[in-house]
Amino acid sequence: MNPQRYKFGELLAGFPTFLGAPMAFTTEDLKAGKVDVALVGISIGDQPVPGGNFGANKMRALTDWLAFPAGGTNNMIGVDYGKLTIADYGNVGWNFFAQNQRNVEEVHRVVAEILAADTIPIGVGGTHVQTYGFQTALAQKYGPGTFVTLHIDAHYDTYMYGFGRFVHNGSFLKVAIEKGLINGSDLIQVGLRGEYPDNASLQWMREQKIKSHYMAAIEKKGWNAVLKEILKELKGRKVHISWDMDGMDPAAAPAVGTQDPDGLSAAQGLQLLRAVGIQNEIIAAEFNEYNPLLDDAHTTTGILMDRLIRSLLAGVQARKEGITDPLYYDPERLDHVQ
Amino acid sequence: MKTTGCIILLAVVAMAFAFPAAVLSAEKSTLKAGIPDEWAPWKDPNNPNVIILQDDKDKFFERRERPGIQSERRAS
Repeated sequence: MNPQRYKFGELLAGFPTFLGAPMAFTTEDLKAGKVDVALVGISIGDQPVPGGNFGANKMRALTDWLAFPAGGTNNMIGVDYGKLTIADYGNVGWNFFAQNQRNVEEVHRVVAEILAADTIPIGVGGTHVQTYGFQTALAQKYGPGTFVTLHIDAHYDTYMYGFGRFVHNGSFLKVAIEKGLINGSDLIQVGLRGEYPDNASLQWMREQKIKSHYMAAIEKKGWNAVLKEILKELKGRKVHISWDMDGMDPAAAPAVGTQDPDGLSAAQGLQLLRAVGIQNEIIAAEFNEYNPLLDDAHTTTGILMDRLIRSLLAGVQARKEGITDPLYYDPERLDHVQ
Repeated sequence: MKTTGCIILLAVVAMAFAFPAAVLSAEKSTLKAGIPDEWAPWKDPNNPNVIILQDDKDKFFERRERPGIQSERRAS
């Protein structure tokens, strides 16, 4: 069902959906529509500063009219990602009476529904604990230890302590490795900084052979060198992207509950997603920790998250069209050739 | 005062109907296709109504023996 009233394509003229995409509700819908990518809203909240629950619905109603519904040409690579069939799959329910480990189960169920149609699930909104539900659903479909989790974050999320809970916002990756959902060496982290991890956690991370690209490395070696390292580590692998918006610099993405200065720039984030989309088979992605209650009137963080998703989609479509160089640029857009 | 008392009484009666006393069910969840038990350490297959807590459940509220010492994280 297409929510857009007019052919021209104006985001403010239809019913609000993710990227202005048509809607789907079941696995059968996705199969019937041969949907490539299903955007699914997550409203689970697990943050010290509440508000991520509202991220998904805000992403359908951004203060934004400069994007086309479910399509548009990426002006880095000249690819129209509107050739992909994209759908809004609605939201995963969040039982706010329940302990969040039960809510992660519902994330698992809905992601599994999307995967059953051989559609790429892209989670929008919510909080980082949901990643565990993505990883269990992916491990069930593709097998444990068969895929890489590319984790963009200011924080390492393999916290040693659960304080009673096994899977929470800071520990889910530790449990995922302990349970064998992913291998430690298949966790690739980008953007770590701030006051963590402590030495005990760092030791555990080294024992697991986790590949962590700290901001320290980006500052010392330069972004281009680190990007090439990341792409080399990912080459030939199925990739699940777990994107915490606080991995970005707060100047670009202020609306997160756990700000840490000196993160990835908007350009670095957009390039990383485009490059990985071109180079790798993307099996799932999720963009979380957006707190619209902390955003500005122009929904700056929300619009960046929207464009990050669009950049990934452009990479996915470029790969379909036969582009193989992850650092490809459209020659038409590199010079003002007359 | 009498009116206020009546309103409170009515509210209590209404609440009793709206939120009847909890009935504990020992049955497993009827929802299908959740996270398999081996990947869900919080589940007890023998007690489907229980969510297991880790041993460090009380750590968050542990008190320092005396003021001024470094926290565990800082000391590491």
